[in-house]
Formats: sequence, C-alpha cells, structure tokens
Amino acid sequence: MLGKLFKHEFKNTGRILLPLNLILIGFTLLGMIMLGLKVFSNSYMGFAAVAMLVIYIFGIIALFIVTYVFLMVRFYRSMYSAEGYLTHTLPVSPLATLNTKLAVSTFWVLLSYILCFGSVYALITTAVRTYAGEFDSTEFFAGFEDAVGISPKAALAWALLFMLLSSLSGILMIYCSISIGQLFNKYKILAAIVTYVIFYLILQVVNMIIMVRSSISSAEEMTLVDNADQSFLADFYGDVIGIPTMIQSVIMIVIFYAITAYISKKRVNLD
Amino acid sequence: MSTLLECKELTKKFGKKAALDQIDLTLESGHIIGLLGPNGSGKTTLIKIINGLLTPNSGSITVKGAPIGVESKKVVSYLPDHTYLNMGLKVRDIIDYFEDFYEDFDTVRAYDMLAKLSINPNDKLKTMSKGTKEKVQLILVMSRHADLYVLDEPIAGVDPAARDYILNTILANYDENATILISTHLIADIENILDQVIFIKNGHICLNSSVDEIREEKGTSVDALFREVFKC
Repeated sequence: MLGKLFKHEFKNTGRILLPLNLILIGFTLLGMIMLGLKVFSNSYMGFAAVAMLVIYIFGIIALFIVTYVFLMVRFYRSMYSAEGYLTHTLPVSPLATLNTKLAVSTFWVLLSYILCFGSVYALITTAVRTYAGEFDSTEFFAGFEDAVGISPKAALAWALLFMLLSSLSGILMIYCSISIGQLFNKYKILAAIVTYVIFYLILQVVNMIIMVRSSISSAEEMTLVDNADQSFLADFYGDVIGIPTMIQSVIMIVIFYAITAYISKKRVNLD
Repeated sequence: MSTLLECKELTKKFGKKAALDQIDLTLESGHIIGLLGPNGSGKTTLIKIINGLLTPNSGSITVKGAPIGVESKKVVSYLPDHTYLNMGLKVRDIIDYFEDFYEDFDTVRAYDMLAKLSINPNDKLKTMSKGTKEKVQLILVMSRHADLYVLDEPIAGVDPAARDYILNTILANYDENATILISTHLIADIENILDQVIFIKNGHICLNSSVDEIREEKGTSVDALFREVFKC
C-alpha cells in the first residue's frame, strides 16, 4: 500500500514540479550554449548578460518559492480541505499518509537544491572554459581545499546532509503549522499562518542566541591562535554555523513531526 | 444478519455544544436505513465519526468489531455531502486511484455505469456540471463491494430525474448482505427504498424502528411521522 501512496503522490506533485525543474535544466543548458558561443563578448551584449543573470537569480528564488508554496497548498488541500475526505477514508494508516507526503515533498525540495547547485557549477565552469581557456578541475578542487580547509567530497557530503535536514525541517514546520491551524473551529488558515509566524519568531531568537554565543567563543579562540589561517574558515562554517544549525534542525524535525503525527492520528476534525 | 456497527455512549462536542450526546446505536447487516433529522441534528457528525473524519470526545464506536481505522475503512464506502475529489484529475485517474486503494473496487462496474450515463472517463472533473460530478462520486462509491455504504445527502443537490437515477443505482448495486445508511431530509423521495429509519434530534436518537412497524403500529408514512416529530 505504501508503494501505491508514493505512486499517486509523485503523480500529483510531479504534474507541476517536474516541468518546473525541467525549466531550470533547460535554462542552464541555454546559458551554457550562450556562454560557449561567446555571445556576451560583444560590448553591446554586456547589458543583456547582466539582465540574464538577474533573471536567472530571480528564477531560482521563484523556483524555491513556487515549490514550497505548491507543497504547502497540496498538503493543506489533501489533508484538511474537501479532498481530505478521501485522504482520511483510504484504508491506510495516518502515519503512512504523512510519511509519504513528507518523503515526496523532501525529494522535490532536495532535487531543487541539487539542480540549483549543479546549474551554478555548470555555468561557472563553462564561463571559465570559454574565457580563461581550460577549466582545471583538479586545481579548482585543490584550491577549494586550501581555502576552505576540507576536501570537496567532504564539503559535498556536509552540504547534502545540511540540505536534507533543512528541507525536512522547513517542510515539517509548514505541515505542523497547518495541522495546528485545523484544530481551530474557525479561521483555520489564519490560525495556521499565525502558528507559522510564532514558530518563525521563536527560531529567530534561538538562532540569534546561538550565533552570538558561538561568535564570542570563536573570536576568543582566534585571538588565542593569533592567526586566522585557512582552517579557521572550516571551523567557522563547521562549528559555528554548521553543527549548531544541524542540531537545531534535528530538534525541529523531531518536535514538528511528533506534533503533526499526533494531530493526523488523533485529532483530525474536518468541517 | 450480524452486527455491523456499534456505538456506545458516543459523544462529540463542538466547543460547549454537544452535536452528539451519549448515543447508543447498533446497525445490523442487510438493511437500507434512513438517518433522518433536520439540519444541525447531528447526522453528518455521526457519519463523519463512522468514517474517521471526526474524533469523538468520549464513548466508543466499532465497525465489524474493529475500532475506526484501517480495517473499518476497508469495508465502509462513503459518499460525502459535497464534492471531495481533486478537480484537476480526469475520471480515469480517479478510478485508478480507487482501484489501487480499495480491494473491493469493481472497475468494470464503474466504467459500465459511466458509459450508461455517457460520461467520458477522459474528462476532467472541473469541466463537469455539479450534477455530473455528484453522479461520478456516486458511481465510485457504489462500485465498491463494501459491507457498509454511508451516503450523506446523496440526492440533495440534483433534479428529480437524477434523483431517480441515483436511487436506482443504489438499489441496482445493493448486495443483500450489505447495509446502506442514507442521511437525508428529503424523506418522501427515499421512503420507498428504506426498511429501517433512525430519527435524530439535537444529538439524540429519538426513534430507531423498521418502516413496517411505523406503518403498522402508528398507521402513518415515515414522511408524515417525521413532520409530526420534528414539527417547528
């Protein structure tokens, strides 16, 4: 039954999200071709290059906004609006339904992250190849290791883990807010939005406390070492931003999942 | 005949108001039962609890001895009182969906009924009239070989000709071992197919009787009795 849930969830979300991601791939290929053909070498095309860069950046931002908003609306509609009548009367456990939606949503968000990074990498390497001769990936990765302090493979693994955790926590924060909103007898959507804002404010305060505390300790460390070498950058991103943020994400995932699962199992109240 | 559904002291409150107040009810298999009451009497609340869409505050409810959950949902076929399908989907997609999730879904029967009504399975729901959407939903619900069919106001929104079609569909697909629970306040239209009625008023069950008993003992039709009991 789980396989069937996945099949239909992918089918329903893919109708919008697959074309959206294909557009990004299409634009990336177009950009690579244009860079490869040196269309921007002409001085008149300088303006066009800037304009296209701006469109590209806004396009990527739009991709994430549309993906999150679509997944949010789909969760609300399929769980707690008229369509919820079908979702909740299927002979499957509420947890199986929730887990499927969560896994499929995480897949789409993660795919967008990976495609964005891939797109940026592809465009940069194409530009370098075109305008500076060869792109020496060995040199680039060695340079990366010198600057950041960890190997590119390790950095990629960290980035993937970081993206997975932030996708999961971001989606679950939305699911949890919508689920709490539907507990109200009236103004359910408004209640969901207010819940989200409250969660957001709490997280901002927690983030601020973590950042201030970590910055103070690492600044002390830096003074002791008296040398801001490359490994400091790795330490800064790893220990100051990375680890505490990941711990925070894991805590968020556990709390938001527990609340959402409890509500979908025990407190469904459809109008 | 065996016990299909059993409620004990079932209570559901919205705020301080009790929509269902300590209801005790047993339904046997093999009946067509009218769940009758005016607006706001608790009909839809009871139906939603049977289908797991509302959680009762107290009391218990079982279908074939099992609490509301995966097992009960396998044997209950539910028609809500409004459209509840994803309007962007084609009828064919929804049939695939029902076929995947309900083991008792009869795809041949569904396509057959669609053909009889000249409904194109490749049409999207959002392109259909309200009446056609209701017919599609009824076809989906009645294409299951369920033990309990729960139909919430199946004839409220359609014209008299469509009402006849709907009632005929219900009767034509009715298996004698199954039970159909129909909620409505359009009693005259439906009276002939019922063999049992439950009157519900302000969250209490005030009558649970066979139609024959009402006719023989009270010497009146269900419709006339309803008007008498719920006189404003």
